[in-house]
Amino acid sequence: MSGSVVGSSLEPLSFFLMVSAAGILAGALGSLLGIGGGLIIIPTLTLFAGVDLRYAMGASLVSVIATSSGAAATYVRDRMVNLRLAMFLELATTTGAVVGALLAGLLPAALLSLILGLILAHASWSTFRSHGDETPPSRTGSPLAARLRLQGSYFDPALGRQVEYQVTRVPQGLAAMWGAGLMSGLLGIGSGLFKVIAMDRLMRAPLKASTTTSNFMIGVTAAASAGTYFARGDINPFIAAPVALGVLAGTVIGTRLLRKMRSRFIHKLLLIVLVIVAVQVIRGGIAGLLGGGHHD
Amino acid sequence: MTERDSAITSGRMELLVSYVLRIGVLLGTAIIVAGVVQMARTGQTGYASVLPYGLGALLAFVPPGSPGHFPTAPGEILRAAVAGKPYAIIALGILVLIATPALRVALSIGFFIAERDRFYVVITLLVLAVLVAGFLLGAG
Repeated sequence: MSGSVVGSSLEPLSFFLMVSAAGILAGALGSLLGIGGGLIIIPTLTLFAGVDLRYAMGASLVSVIATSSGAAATYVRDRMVNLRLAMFLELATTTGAVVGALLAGLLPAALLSLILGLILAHASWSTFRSHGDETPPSRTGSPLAARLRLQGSYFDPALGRQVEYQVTRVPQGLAAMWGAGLMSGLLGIGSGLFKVIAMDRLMRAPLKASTTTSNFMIGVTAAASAGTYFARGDINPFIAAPVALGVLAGTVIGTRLLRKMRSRFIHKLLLIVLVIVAVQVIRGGIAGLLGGGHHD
Repeated sequence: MTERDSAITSGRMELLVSYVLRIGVLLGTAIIVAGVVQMARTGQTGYASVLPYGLGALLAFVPPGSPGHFPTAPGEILRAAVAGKPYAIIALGILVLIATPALRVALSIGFFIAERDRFYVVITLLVLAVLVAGFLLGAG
């Protein structure tokens, strides 16, 4: 597969502009939903620009880091991010990410994609059945969560009031986060979505707290494996530059939108993205299993 | 220290974390833009010409010395960036972006010290250790 780029008749300038535009979209959607934008960046690069999957994954990691730092600067200032929850769970995500980056290429990627896809499909169903309340019904958190001081509060401009919340099911959340880190290290995708689901569905944090805290976390998870990708030469400057610049511009839009948007709407957006990613990942997994041999 | 004092201190730390993220992002952006401008101005990547080869060659996986080549070792990147090679400047900006979240974790230690929360100081140190291990394993 090396040596030539399939079906790319683009001029360097058009490529740069097209990838920047995809970056803006990825950054805006990513900062709203707490995801990294690989969902938009990878297909744009591989399908429309004919970029090799290895470079596309490297670019996706850059997109994740740019989304995270760009959006989290605002979300931390606005006190939307639950710093304790983030740091506690990062212990699991970074460990998983390092293990994943080391095992990448050794484990059957197609099978893993299939498993990830099925988990996402289940999460889609669970999200579909939930009502997307503005805030989760008030409840007492688990004793472990209380002992770890994982409760939080933030001001929601869309509701015009302070939202206080507790979380539950800490061990399950921690395990899911390790899996999220592993997947991001192995496949370079799905980690943000996984984190949002783990906090929102499993641990029962409010959606806005889940997406902004995920946003804050994904940069650290990605940074844990980005060093490996960078050293391996998977991050091509000609691709990474428009991705980073576009995404950073996009986060300016996304963070403004989140402030004004109702959780109900973000919930719908999340559901759509979940379904699309689940289908994409499952299809990729099946194609990989049927195709047998991998390029590298 | 009262609860209120602690809330004010941690509020300041949150602002600090937010500033560090913003500075990292702005610095990274500025460096990448400088690299892109330099590339557009000279028509060179610093390792090859952009135009004669076209996009395909720039994006293909190729051994060092061919049109798609770019530096990956931090030391080489720094030297070549100072020398004004566009690809190295862009790579330096990307490195700044990658380093920002790690720096943010380091700063969070200050946040939890201000909150007098030893448990989270330890957690944060552990996260930082894993990050450093990740970088070292990647470089090795």
